[in-house]
Amino acid sequence: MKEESERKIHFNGLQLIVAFLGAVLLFSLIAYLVYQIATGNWRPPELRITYSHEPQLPNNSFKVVVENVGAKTARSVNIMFGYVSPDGKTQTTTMVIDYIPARSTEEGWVVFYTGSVGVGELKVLSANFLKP
Amino acid sequence: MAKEQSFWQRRYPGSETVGLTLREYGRGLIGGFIFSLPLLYTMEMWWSGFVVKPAYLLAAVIANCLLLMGYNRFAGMRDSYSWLDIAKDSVEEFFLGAVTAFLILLMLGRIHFQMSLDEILGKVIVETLAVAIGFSVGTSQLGGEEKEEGKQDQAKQGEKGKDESDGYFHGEGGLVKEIVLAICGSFLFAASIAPTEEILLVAVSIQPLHALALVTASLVLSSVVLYFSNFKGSLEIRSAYKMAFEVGVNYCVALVVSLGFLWFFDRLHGIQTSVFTLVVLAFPASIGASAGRMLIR
Repeated sequence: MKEESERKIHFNGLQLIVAFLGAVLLFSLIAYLVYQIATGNWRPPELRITYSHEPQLPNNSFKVVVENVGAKTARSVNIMFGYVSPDGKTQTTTMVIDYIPARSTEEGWVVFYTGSVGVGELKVLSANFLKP
Repeated sequence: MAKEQSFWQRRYPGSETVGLTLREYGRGLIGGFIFSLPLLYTMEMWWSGFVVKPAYLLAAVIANCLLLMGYNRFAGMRDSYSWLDIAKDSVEEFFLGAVTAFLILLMLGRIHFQMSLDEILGKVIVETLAVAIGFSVGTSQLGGEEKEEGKQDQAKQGEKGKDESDGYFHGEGGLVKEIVLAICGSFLFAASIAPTEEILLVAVSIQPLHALALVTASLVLSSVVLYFSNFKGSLEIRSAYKMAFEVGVNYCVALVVSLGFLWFFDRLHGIQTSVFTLVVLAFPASIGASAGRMLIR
């Protein structure tokens, strides 16, 4: 019996605080993951693409914001843009993004070197992505 | 002159000083870096944080905690005696591993507060899995005198409790201890390779003969490490049967750990590719299972 009490470890205050915080963190993480599984929203990736002209940048520059409002990550995202300049010339470009996690946003810029004066019209022609 | 004792030490004479605990944490931090720094710099690891399903993350967190408890039971941070003490050690390591992973990812700009909570948590959880094990191994293995004294105490305690705890399965050097250490060694070696695309690239390009050569090399290297390398703690050849059994168990551990990694990183596609991928990853995992089991005990 005496040997048993000698073998008992007494943790100091710091160890107890860290162990307590660890237990709180661990159980919170488990609870969060269980909640995510239980309320699983298996909606596939859904991309919302918005863009705006950036007059302070040279040429015809557009800021592009791609938001994944779906519940899953989109992989190998390819977005094709078409640009029609004021003088009627058409150009296309493709934006490639490795991953857009669920409920996340990626930003980028597309620039068209048309040589014409004035701002033309930008359109999203297509977007494709893979399941991770 | 007698050393002044803190309130806690006067209240609980066996407890460590805060300074000693901080030194342990420092050792753990360095150990965590030694074993997991490559993973903190690996983009496939960051990506898996938001690609892996929540159910997989949950399974990985639970498996990680069990592995930490197993390692702490046999060779961990402190010479703990009860499962409650072991659990306390394990959650301490998990917490410190999580904080370390979070801060390193923050400093590397891999997480920021405009990201979704899912993405931040996913990245931190995935990196914590390796950092926490590294933390535990580092605290245990990088220690100096304190650890040696602890080991001697444990050896004495082991002598006292020999009748009840020694045996082929559970005692000092028993099968359960060897398997737990082999899993830890295997985990640490394979963790830095498993998330990479190269594993899949190799698997789809090799022929069956290459795979057979890898299996043979895994078994031969495991035998060399376990029996012929004169590593600290290497085994003596008692019989060919015993040797074959030990090497077989070692390779099975490497296969199971590799399978777990491949499942977690979603690398199992089609039977042939899956088998080849398993064999490719089991090669480093088997070296980890044999060498790691000698080095991290």
